[in-house]
Amino acid sequence: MNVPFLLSILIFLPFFSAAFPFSGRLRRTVGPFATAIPAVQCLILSTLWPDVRNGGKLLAVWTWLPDLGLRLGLALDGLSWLFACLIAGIGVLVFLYTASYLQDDPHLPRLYRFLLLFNGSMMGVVFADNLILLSVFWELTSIASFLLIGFRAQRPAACDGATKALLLTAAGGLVMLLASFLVFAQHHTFDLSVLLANSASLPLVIGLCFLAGAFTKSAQFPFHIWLPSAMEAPTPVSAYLHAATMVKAGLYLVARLSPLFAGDPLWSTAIISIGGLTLLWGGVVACKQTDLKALLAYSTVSQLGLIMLLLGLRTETAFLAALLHIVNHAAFKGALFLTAGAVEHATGTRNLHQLGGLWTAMPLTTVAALLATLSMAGLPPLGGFVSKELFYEAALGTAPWFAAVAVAASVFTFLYSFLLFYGVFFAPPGERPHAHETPLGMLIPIMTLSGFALAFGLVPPFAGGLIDPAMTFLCGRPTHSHLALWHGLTPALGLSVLTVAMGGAVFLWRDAFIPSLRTRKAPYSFDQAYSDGVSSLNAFAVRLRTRYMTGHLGDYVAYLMVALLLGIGLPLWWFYRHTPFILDIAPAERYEIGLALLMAIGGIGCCCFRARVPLVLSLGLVGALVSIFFVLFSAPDLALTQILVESVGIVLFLLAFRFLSPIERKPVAWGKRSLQLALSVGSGLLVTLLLLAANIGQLYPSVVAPFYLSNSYLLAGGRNVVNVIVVDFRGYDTMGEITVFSVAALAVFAMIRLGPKGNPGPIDHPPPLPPSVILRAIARLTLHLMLLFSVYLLLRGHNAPGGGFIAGMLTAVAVILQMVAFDLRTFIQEIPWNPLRIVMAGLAVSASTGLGALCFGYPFLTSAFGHFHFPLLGEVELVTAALFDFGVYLVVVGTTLGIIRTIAED
Amino acid sequence: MELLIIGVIGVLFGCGTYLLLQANLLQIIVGLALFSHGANLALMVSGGLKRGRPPLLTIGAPYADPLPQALILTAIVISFGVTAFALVLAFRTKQVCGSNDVDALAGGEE
Repeated sequence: MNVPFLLSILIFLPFFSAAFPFSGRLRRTVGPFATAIPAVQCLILSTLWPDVRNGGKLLAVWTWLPDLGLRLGLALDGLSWLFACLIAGIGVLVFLYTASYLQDDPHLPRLYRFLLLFNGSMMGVVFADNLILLSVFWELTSIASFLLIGFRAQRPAACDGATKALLLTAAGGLVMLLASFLVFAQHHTFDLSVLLANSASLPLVIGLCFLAGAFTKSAQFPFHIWLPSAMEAPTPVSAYLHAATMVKAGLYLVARLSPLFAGDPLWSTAIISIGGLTLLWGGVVACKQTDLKALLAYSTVSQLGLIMLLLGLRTETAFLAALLHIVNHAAFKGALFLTAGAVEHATGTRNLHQLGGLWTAMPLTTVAALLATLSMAGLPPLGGFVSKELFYEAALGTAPWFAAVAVAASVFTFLYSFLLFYGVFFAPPGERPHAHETPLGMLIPIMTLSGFALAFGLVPPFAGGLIDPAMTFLCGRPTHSHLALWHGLTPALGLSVLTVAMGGAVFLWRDAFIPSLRTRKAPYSFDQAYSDGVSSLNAFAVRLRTRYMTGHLGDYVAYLMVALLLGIGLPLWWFYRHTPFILDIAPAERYEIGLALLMAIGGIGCCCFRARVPLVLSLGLVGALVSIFFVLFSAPDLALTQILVESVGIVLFLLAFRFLSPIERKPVAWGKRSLQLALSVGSGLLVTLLLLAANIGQLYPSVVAPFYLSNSYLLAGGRNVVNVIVVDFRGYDTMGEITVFSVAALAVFAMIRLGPKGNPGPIDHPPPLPPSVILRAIARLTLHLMLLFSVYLLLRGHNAPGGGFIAGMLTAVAVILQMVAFDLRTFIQEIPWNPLRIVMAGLAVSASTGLGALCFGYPFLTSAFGHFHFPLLGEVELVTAALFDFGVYLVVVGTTLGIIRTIAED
Repeated sequence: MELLIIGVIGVLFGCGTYLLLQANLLQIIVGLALFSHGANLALMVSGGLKRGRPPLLTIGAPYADPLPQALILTAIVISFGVTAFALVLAFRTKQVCGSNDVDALAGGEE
């Protein structure tokens, strides 16, 4: 079969299935449906076995971002195959179990969705060949874990546990991402296969960053604290994510990267020391626990530490032990977690003090749990025994004291295994003796997993077949492990006997120290440190925020201005402090200097006037002078637009005044006032400097302008280049612009007509002025003249100053003048329907002109023109752009009138 | 000539900033309007200032740069829309909250 296709199926099938709607009657089918997904994965993986069994490696690469050297690569080799088998195999059993464990939970489909999301992400982690892709899937597993831990979101502990797990694992993932970038900086590739093929060796810094990701994910000391808190998740989730698969992602990463750090003893040292510490710490703390899941969680921590340590040892035996233990642990810990779920299901409690004597009620469960426990304790003939023997062998090959540590750790493992098993099934019954045998749907997965735990011991080649392909990757050559229960009388066997003897003794005398160990409270724990850290970070953030988030708009503007001055002003000054500013200075005429001074006075007037009418008149003065400058500097279109907009603007301001409160002269602290002045002067200088820098010597003559100038008539048939640019060359821009403009009208309309009215407060209605006869006469007289002139401006726009914007504004001014001279009623008579309709009509005209071009197979907004000869009228030029301009005209008229009318009516 | 206009633009931006830092919404809106005047003139300057050379193909080369003019044309209209919108926003603020003074509107804790 096509391997790339199969790999993508493995990863993406669960993602797509997670989106399947399970509502109504389909809800009942969610269990079998979801279980089928990992089952399909298992089938696919079994067909892939021949590809990997002899150390084969298959790559599937898609181009992703070639410019950045990013390839979307999936790789299949023995290591990823082994982990994928765990994910799919345990997945089938857990999915099956979940269906009967949470039979009555209304949110069962959601749980399955999250589980499928996790399944797909985890597959992605083990198959990703690209470090970035790996990081993406890695974080996705963190997110899935977050969702699953917080599945019972109404419980605060579940939320805390979910947050803790996410914070720690995602933080580790980010550090890992950083490591990936460092790798790219050094080797110019994100592809693991390329790195491995070149036998690249990476510096320790990168290694430590990767380890940060691996250690947080695999709950290594002191990041292990998230794992016990994660036990708030429903039990099948704990079995799947937090025992069998996700927590092993860190192990996978370490194993995968192992060849890249082959020459680095510090890499091994870091892994061995952290792994060893985790192994012992987890074992000791597990013995303290009275909650079944907490005990299993700490035992998982401990076992993960063991595997991590083995991966750090890097000998062939250690690798073999590590891989075998990964498989063993998945089987026995999965079985034990599922048993814990079954016990809770049957009795309603997980507390060891309340449990006991369940073997009579749950004989089959007891047998299954016994097998798993024996495997965990490392007793023959189970898989755990084989991997523990290998562990001892590897430890003996290192140093004697190391073997002592191994034995000590195994004694703790032995102890907590039997504390758990005996406590649940054989201890004198606690407070809740009522129980029933586990339902079949839950029992089958438990027994299957226990069966595997047994099979790995009894039929070692079975386990060997699973892990040999992965060994090939770790050892760099094809290997065939010779696993066996009986190795003969070896030192390792001696250590095993010693372990059992010591463990048995400790277990028999457990009453001497376990109760006191359980009641002892640590004065300070890592959990405490975590929550203290989080809460002090929160408190710090609140303190910091209340300092600068004052709630005063002026302060925020001040921040922005300070940032601008420092961020742009300083570098600008620094770079240009020695550059002479050469400007193409046409000497300023005297009247121009006068106009400029007047404009400056207008601007300063805006700052000084408190009364509203002088304020607006100052603003109007500035606007009028701007339009005079437009006249002076060859921009007739701009001058016309500006002066018209300015007139409408003044009317708008005057209308709005009635509703706004007057500007009060408030006492402002001297310091604040001078800061405001300093910022204002500073920003003025900044802009001046910026413009001077931008205009130095006009070094870069515009290359665009000559194109427009020479093609305006050829391509668009217009002689007014500004208008041609607006309606033709940059028609798209204009289309967007009139849309935005009409949205302003809609927003104004919506804000005034809709929403709560609130308390309008006192409105200072000016006393009605006596009607001005002169104004009325002029308004009457000019209305039609102005309208006619606006049509003229619209029509000639393509070849002479004018066009849709200007004509639209002029029409609006003509109508507004009537309103000012007469009253609102006249206005409504002139435009009896809602101006917003004009806006919509205008948008429709412009858009359909543009779409018309599409009908003829040209890009949107391509214009066509032609010159036609009409009798009487002579030569007439017809341009589709004029139609577009007509749309602009309508939008401008409608928007302007709409805004004014809406405000005036209110 | 460019120096002169650039200086005036600086004054406009300075005044605009001063107004933005004030408390009354009306002043803030006027400040914004000054900003847009300044920005339009700045665009104009960037294209070079030419007297009496409008980009109308009927008059003959050389012409003033038409591109900044086209950009400014739309900018003028847009800034009118923005001003109108801001005025209505201020008006509604007054209606709903009873004040135009941003310091009086300052939110408390959360």
